[in-house]
Amino acid sequence: MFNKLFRVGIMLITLVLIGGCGIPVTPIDMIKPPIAEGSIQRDKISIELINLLPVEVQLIAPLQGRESNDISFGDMDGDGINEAVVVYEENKATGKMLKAALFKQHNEKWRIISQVEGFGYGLEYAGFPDLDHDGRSELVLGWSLGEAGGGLDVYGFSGDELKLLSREDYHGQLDLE
Amino acid sequence: MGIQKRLVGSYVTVITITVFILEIFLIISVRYYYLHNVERALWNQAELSASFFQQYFTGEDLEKQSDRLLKGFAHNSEAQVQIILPSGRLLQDSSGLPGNNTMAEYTDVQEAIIGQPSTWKGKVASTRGDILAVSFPLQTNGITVGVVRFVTSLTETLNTINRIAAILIGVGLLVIAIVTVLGLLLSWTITRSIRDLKRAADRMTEGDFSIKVRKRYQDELGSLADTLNMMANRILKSEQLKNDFISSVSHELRTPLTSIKGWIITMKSNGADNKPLLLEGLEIIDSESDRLAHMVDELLDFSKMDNGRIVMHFGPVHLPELLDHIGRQLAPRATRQGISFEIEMDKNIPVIQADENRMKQVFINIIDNSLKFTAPFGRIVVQAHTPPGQIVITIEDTGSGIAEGDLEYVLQKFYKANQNASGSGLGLSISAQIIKLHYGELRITSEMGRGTKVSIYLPTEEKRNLTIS
Repeated sequence: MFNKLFRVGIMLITLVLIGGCGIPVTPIDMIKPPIAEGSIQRDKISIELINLLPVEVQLIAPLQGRESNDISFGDMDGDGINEAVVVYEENKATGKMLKAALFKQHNEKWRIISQVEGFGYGLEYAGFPDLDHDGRSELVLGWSLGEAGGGLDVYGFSGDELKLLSREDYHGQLDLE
Repeated sequence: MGIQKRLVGSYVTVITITVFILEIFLIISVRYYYLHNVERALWNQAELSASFFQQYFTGEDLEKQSDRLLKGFAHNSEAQVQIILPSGRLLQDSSGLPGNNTMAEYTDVQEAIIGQPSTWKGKVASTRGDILAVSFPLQTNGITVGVVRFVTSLTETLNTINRIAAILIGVGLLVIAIVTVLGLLLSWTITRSIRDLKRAADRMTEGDFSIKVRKRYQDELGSLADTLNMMANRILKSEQLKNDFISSVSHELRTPLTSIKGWIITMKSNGADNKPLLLEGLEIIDSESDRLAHMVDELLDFSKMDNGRIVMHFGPVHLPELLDHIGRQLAPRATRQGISFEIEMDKNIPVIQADENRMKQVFINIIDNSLKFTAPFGRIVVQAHTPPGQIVITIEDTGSGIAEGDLEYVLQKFYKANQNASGSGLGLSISAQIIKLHYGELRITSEMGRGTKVSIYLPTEEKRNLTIS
């Protein structure tokens, strides 16, 4: 009797798992670096910024850049206080999605003021060079599609959000400034 | 069909159905999971490639940059990547398929050319096994300039699915096998007990009640075994009782017969000249034949009562008269034995409806018993009085009494406290039955060495009508 109940239970659970909650996550999507709590010595700002991001995302460091760090700083609005950009990868049911989040410091408090989507397999470059030499930095994100080349997004800061200034392809080594 | 077969059969049927449903469900799930994931991975790669193209590479002509694009698209994928022109002509192929092939025959390519991402699954003549293809349109300002197509062989996937299915089926068969063995064991524990019971019952049918059924478990069959053992025991006991009865009755019948026979021989040889001897012999023969007749009557009564064929002839009976009559009849014997015999009665005892002869039989039986067990200088008192609703008659003696252990059995048929005592052991049993048929009750109290008191409770007319209605 107990055996039968047990089997029916297993069947129902399987049914709920597969039928009720959609297809379970594929093994390849489950590969993630271990979350080592406290072991990574991040500075205070990094921790504060990461806490603002959605949970279970993975930070991406640009392949090249002046600071080979997953967080870049630059002053976009010319107020003398640096903004920060973090690029991360989000796992959605339809696949992975690249996103960049811009943080602004306000009264010692960081908050996300804008998020933009990215394309391709990875991040080539993320930084704040002053491309038009007006004293205010632009946010430049270089996305890569392997040997096919890459795409370069240049964002300016207008009002309170990011505005796409240009989007073009590049091939070979990135050369900014 | 035997119980074992039925049990195991139903068990195996249930398990087989369960396992079968589970297997189908699991195999379909696994198949769906694998194929769905492969398709999703291809779809993601194709979508990523197409959207990247749409965002960054629209400036240049597709044909010119196709070589470079193919490398980029194939960069992260193990799949075969194709770039196809809107005309259906194959522009680039990562596995080196010669160009200029037309791909327009595939539905996914056709769909993608008109701007709809699409998948296709099927067999291609040039490759082995099934393939899965996902096509995405490459668009420049909303115009489809080409199609990117990711193609994978499904051979590996289908092999894996088949392998998992084989494992699942194997496990299912193993489960069925294990359950079958367990079912056999389980049913064996049940049928073993039943077989024991049957064997014992067969032996009992053949008349061997000395057999004991082995009790294997404390379950329903176990208690059935107990019951069977108990039944056999009782049958043995009653058999024993019957044998005792026959031997005692034969003995009882034989004693007067021997005496009669002896006197007849004596009278034959020298009765002719000896008149007093002849008279004494006849006297003894008379009383002994009375004894025989009495005993045979008792046996007849008993067999009637046992079959429920005894009939009471109710009529008006005046108890004081009846008791007086009995007193007169038995007084000479009491005097002979040196026992004082008294009858005390209330004057207002009513006339009741009873079978006079049967009542007489009861009183004589009880008083006869008292006379039998009371020594000379003893005393027997018969009293009758009427508490409301009933008449109580007590016969009290100063006889030897009945042991406490025997008291509860004296009303049972064939029971004799002393196996060597005379009588059939039926008298009291028959008396109690007769009183019961008069809706009354017979009770015995006794003390060893002090005497016995027999009380008969009879309902009066009104009370009895009440009881009957």
